[in-house]
Order: sequence, then C-alpha cells, then structure tokens
Amino acid sequence: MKKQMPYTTPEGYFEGLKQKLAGIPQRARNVSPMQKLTPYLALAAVFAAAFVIGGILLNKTATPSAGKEEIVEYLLEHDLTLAQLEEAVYYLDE
Amino acid sequence: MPNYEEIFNKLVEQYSEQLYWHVRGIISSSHEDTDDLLQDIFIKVWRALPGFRGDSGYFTWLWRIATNEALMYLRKKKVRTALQFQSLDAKAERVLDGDPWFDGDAAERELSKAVASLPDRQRSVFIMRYYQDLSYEDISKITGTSVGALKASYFHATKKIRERIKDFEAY
Repeated sequence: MKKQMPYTTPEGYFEGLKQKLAGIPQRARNVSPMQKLTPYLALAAVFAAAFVIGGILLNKTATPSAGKEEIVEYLLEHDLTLAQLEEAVYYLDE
Repeated sequence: MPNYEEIFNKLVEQYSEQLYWHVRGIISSSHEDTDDLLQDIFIKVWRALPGFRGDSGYFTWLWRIATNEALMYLRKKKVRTALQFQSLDAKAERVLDGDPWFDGDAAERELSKAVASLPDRQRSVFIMRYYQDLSYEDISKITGTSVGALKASYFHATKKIRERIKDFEAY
C-alpha cells in the first residue's frame, strides 16, 4: 500500500488556490471599520441580552421577603414552645 | 519593516499544497470542506504574521496553526453533528464512500476509514508521522506534546488501524 493519501483534487485546483490565497492581504485591507467592529458589537449585544433576560428572570422568580410582623404571626399560629418563640424573637431583633 | 505581503505570498507558494493534504488528512472530510478551512487558516496566518517571532521555523509555525484550526473545526463539527443526533465517525465514513475525489483501491479506502475513525489528536499524529514522514521532534514542536507521548499515540493509532483492517486483509 503506498504511503500517500488516496485523494485527488479538481484539475488545476492548486494553481487557483494559490491565486485565491494570495488575494487575502488585499481583501484584508479592504475591510471597512464597521466590518471590523461587527464581531465586537455582536458580543456586546449578547452580553446586553443576557443581562436584560437575567434581570427579568430574577425579578419574576424572586419571592418578596416577609416582614417582621408576618413572621411573628406565622410563628404564633404554629405550636411553638415559649423557649422557641423567645429564640425566634431574639434572632428577629438582631 | 518587513514586507509581510511578500513573505505571505512566499508561504502560500511554498506550503499551500502540502498544507492542503495535511488539513484534509486531519479532518478526513471532503475536498470542499478542506478548501474552505484552508482559506480560513491562511487568513489566520496573514493576521498572525506580524507577530511571528521566528522562534520556530515557518514550517513549524504554519503546521501548528493549521493543526489547531483543523482540530477546532472538528470540535465544532462534533457539536453540530451531536445536535443532529449523528455520529461524526459514521458521517466521515459516508463522506469517504461518496467522495468523488477519492482515488484509491478498496484496501486504501478501508485504511482511510480506519484513519478517519481514530480520535482527532491521534489521527493528526498519525497523519504527520505516516503520510508526511515528519520526525517525532518536529511533531512535538508543532503539537507541544512530548516525544514519548507522541510515540505512544502513534503506537495506539497503528494498533487500532491494524485491528480494523485485519478482517479486510484476511480476504
């Protein structure tokens, strides 16, 4: 078996390839400032979108924190011992 | 200031054909995919040229860029094929079966399929060692892997290939 890759390319491909590749510096010089900025703008847009969506989701899922009176009321409704109630009030006052 | 365009054109003239085969071997894909990737690689080369410090020769530098780009291309392709619930190995075999630019006999097709089924890094080592006859020292400079690890990788690759084509050889 020969140690050569068993593939071919279209006729005259490498000549055309060299010409195409040699045009890269010229094409790179013709890139407008806007085209250069586009990837950075896209990245900034992704971050902005993630920030906005994250903010919306956080607002929707966050539960409002209960006030001190509501907590005391809740504790009173449940059969807690006096010691447990005192402990809870101690923590609430801190 | 060096004339980068002149250097770039010399690199294109001297290495583009060899690089084509290097890339095609690693990605085990069609001529069209190789052509697209090769252009992306040379765009990278052009952009990176002013930063070339000459620590390694142009050959090593080019091969390093091309190998990394080819492996990156495969990683992206793997994600895309996984999203389509397909196996990249199976896809590579289908590409080989239907490749109009394949120019080998049945044994060579089987060998190509075996090479295509290797893990990406192992395949890149195999391509450089077997088809391009590069020394382990050169491959080490290109890949940043130790010579010992490369020898082990090549050994495993040849073992897997032998295993795969042994049934074929029996006929």
